[in-house]
Amino acid sequence: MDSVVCVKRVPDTETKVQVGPDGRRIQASGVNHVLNPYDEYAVEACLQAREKAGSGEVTVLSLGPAEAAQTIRQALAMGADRGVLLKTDPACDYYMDPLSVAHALAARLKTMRLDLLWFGKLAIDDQSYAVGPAVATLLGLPCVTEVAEFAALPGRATATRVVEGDRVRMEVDLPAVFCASKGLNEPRFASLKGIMSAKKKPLETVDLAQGTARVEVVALELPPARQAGRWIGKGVEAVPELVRRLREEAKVL
Amino acid sequence: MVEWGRRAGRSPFFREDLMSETASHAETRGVSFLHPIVEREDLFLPESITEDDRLMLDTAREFMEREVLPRAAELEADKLRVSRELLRRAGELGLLGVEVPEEYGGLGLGFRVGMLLLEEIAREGSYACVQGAHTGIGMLPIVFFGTDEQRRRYLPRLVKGELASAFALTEPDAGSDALSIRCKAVLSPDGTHYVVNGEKQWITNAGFADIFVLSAKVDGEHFTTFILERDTPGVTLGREEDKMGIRGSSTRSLILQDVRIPVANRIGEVGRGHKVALNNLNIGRMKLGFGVLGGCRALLNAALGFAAGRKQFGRPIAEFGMIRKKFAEMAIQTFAAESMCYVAAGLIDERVHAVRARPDHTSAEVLGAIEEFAVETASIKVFASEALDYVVDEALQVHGGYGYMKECPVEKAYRDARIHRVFEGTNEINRLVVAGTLLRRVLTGRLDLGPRATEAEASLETGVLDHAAPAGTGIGPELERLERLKRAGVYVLMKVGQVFADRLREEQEVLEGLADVVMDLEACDAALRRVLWVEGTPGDRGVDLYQDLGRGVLATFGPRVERNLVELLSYTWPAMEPASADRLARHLFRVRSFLEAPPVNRYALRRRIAERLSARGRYLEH
Repeated sequence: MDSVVCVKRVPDTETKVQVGPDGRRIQASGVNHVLNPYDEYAVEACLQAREKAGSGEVTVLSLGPAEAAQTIRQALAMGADRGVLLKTDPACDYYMDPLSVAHALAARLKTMRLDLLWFGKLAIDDQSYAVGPAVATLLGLPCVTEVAEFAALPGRATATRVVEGDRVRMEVDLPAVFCASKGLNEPRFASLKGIMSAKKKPLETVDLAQGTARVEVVALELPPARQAGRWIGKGVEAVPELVRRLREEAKVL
Repeated sequence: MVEWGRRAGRSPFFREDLMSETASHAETRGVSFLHPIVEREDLFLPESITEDDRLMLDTAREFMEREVLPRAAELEADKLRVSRELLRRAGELGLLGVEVPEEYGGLGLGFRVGMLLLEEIAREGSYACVQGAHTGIGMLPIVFFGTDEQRRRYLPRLVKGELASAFALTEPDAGSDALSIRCKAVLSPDGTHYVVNGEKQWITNAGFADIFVLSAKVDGEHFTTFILERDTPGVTLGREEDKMGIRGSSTRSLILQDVRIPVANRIGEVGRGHKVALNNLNIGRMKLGFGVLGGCRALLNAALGFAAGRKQFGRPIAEFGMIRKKFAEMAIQTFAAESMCYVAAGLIDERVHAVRARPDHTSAEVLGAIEEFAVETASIKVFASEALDYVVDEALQVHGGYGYMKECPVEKAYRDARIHRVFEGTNEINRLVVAGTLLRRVLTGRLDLGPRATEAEASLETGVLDHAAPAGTGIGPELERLERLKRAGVYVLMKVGQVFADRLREEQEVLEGLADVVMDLEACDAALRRVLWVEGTPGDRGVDLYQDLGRGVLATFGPRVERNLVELLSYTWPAMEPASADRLARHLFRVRSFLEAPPVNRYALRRRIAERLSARGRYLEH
């Protein structure tokens, strides 16, 4: 069972993000970067599939700056076998829209042998939910998103999606694309031995030929500060007034 | 290696040094902080750790957040079972064998990574003691001084967490006076084993440990170290002690009645066990220092977080001046302790690693390498544990009434913190180690401070510091002030040594004062080295905050050094020149003038530090 898992380097959720001086991207200084948490579920799914099948390789593919090699190493430390980094050029540091990313990943993926292709369902920085399905489209592969349960059989896999009020179980022919949702598994953390041995695993770096930007970030703003709460009253007597305001002022009812 | 002048315009101030550029790491010396600051590129600092170190820290952090912190209450309720489970899990993750050579199942990485991990582990006070005692004082004697056979027999299972270890030194009548232990070992007539009798007290991990590194005296005279297996007939445990803090760690006494320990389980030679025990404590002290740092950082972050959300008078209390002042002072204490621990651990690791890297090294050489830094390890222990007490006290104060409630983690941290000033040698004993070791080295000529003292006396005489402040750094005035403090410190150290050489035992308060001077100088030295490193290293770390923290360290500990020096001189002078009160006054005036520094606007300084911390929402990260 060979798998490829696509991962992204994203700012740590614990970092207090600030808008940079150009007003179009976040301030780079003082920001910790981590392996996108949804991608961790995807990595774990690949490792479990390999362990269950008893053979196969897990390849980690990432598109990003040179520092993303560290993110790949994190997945290698968890137990993946090899890494490939499509390195972006710091000189053309524009926003790459999801379809451009998908094209770049798909071009490389076409050359790779795989049964499973995993993504996190979204990256926590730009939250587009798009790259996984876009790659599946470009490769002409079946795709299951929001995967909360998974089991691979030779040539086939079952995946359970969580949708509004329901769980949908699907069977797909392999190779196929899967996008991991929270709760799919409990990602292992790297043992210290794993971290040491990750240094010796192959990591190929390819300079990415970037085209021109098709989507431009015009402005980046922090969400407005939360407004202070208001006391409408206490106890049961306050309920009618609360309902009235929710309907007329907040317009949520 | 030492590298000079990474930035243009650095004056020769930095070039005077005690380590030549060709000095091998095997000769890295202790007490280097009394000399002028040497700028080095390969300093061990929170800022200089590698990406791999960072990944390992992540593993430790996740282990703590996912498996230890959620079980803190369970650990207190059922410490024996939960301690074992957590140790085993830590073993699976590789957290227990960092310093253990690979051939015995470890990672063979030296101290640095182990120290870093401790900072994370220390976020839960009880578990920190469990793992700290297991990997430190329990396991390291076997790593460093055990025979190959002992290592093969025990280390792989200790590293996996299948076996747990403890260190048994203290006895009811031998606490601080550790060398006066009464536990007695007698060689059996057939020479195959020792018969041991005695009682050990307050042994961390005792309730579940499988092996104890035991100190006893052969024939009641010769201090010797043994490996004692728990299952050996004649070993009984006392009840669990009911402690103020670290209540999730097991602390019991150990009663030994005609216990037979095979000769093969003796560590090192008969009569040399005190070296093993004391140097084991040296390492333990350094580890304790790092453990404490994790506590300081977590508490400061907790205080910052709480104050940002807690509103009174219609504003978050984080906006109030007295709360902000607390943030700044807590950060200064943490920064000082942190810098001191890292810089010293880097030097120790360098030297010990250089010794251990030689295939033909002996355990005596390892002992020597560790002992070289006895001043540093003791001062780290004292300084860091007192910084923690300061920080935990203020963190609780920021939390107000909430901080006093059991459901607030700071309440537990407050109780857990207090033991750090007591164990691994009380802070009083460690102050004696700091000053006593230093004076002994000076008096025996092992440490040659002669040229430094001559230089100090000359500059005190003339009032002139023949070093210009270096160009290109934002902390020029602090560097100059520190150099003045160091010279005055060396001068006083030599005077005290001359006057009290033969009766140091009866001058404990003098030694205490001297130890405080030495520790404060070490902290200032390390903090400024760290600022220089950050200034000279590319990267966007926010150098302003580092410079202000460096200034804050000097502004906090500089005056303390000055006060102690004046007190020490005032006491020492009459013994040198009786009945010369006016000459003493003139002399003190000269010393004070030499130490006179440009005024520091501490209000503004603290506000700047606090504002940056509030904006970040947390203290500096690795």
